[in-house]
Amino acid sequence: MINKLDKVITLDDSSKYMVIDQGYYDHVSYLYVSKLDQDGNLTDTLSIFEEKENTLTTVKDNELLKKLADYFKKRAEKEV
Amino acid sequence: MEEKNGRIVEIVESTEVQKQQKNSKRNLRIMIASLILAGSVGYGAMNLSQGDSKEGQPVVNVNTDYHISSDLNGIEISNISTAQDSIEETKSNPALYAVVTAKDGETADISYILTADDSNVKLEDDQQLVLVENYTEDELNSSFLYQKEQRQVSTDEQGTLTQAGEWQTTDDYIIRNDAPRNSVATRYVFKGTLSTVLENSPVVELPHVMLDNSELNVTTQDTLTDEQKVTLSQQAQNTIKSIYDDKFNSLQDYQESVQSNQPSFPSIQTTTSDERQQFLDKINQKITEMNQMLDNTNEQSVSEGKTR
Repeated sequence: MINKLDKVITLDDSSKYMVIDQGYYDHVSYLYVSKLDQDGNLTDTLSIFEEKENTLTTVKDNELLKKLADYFKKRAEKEV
Repeated sequence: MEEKNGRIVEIVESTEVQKQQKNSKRNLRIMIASLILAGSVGYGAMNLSQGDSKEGQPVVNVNTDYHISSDLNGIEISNISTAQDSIEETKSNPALYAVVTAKDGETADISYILTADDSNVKLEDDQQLVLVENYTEDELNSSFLYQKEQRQVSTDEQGTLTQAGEWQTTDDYIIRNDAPRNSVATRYVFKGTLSTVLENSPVVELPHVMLDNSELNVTTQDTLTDEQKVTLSQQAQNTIKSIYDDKFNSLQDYQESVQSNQPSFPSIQTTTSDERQQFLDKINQKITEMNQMLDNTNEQSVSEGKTR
């Protein structure tokens, strides 16, 4: 598993995301990302993506989504 | 609703500016994660715009990729104006609430955001008030969490309840300042004030499986899934039904043989009726025992998961 914290990821549709947090669950990497605008600035569009086999996909499992949200929320709350 | 499925073509280090921007989004990250936890938004991308506000007031406009929304989904105009008027008057309290209208199991529309003083705004049945950020102690103590429970019911032609199953808890919670409306098939069980809930964190009861940048050994099998519970319950019901059918058929055969042989003795009818009642009582007792066993199985399984 590669640490992608603070990395900027470009997808094949040219959309760009900055990884603001990352967690692993059941051997799978999940990224909390902010979409970048055309100038490379972070936007208020946040997403939680599953990273698998060099692709990013939307997390659709609601229970899993809540677990991840809980995890990312606690991590953000700890930041000063 | 945005649904992403894209191949990674490049990964580069972020700039210092982007890292600073990330730090400035900390509250937004917490807020959106809170909304997901509250079940107010489902999967996909989310954003919550906090544009320029007048005199430092919280901003009403909320936009997300979930079409949160210019259409107000049946919210009464009077509610909207009440909320906005109150926001105009509220300058010092930073607490924000979102009024959320459930759309389906996965998505919800956030209709508007209002301050704590508006938290007693009238809500429709399909709406809930979700605490967003910066809640005060008073607000935590005055907001109540209810868990939704459902049961199977049957009614006659007049709509009168004729049969009702056991209440089953759901994963749905709502936050209200007043008691939600119950029905014969749905009820809301008071779980406590938000302060109590947040203290004990029962809203999303999770095995703690997250570690920083490391793999996990805990699996989701530490607890029975809903699907497994349903399967077990169905198996138990089928077993009971099978036993019942067999015994009842035997009883019917017995009754028919008695009736055909001695049709003129009503006392025998009475006896078989008593036997049938006794038998039914036993079956009911058996069902209760099976349900108890199933409950114990679930509790034991959860308990085992927690102690691993």
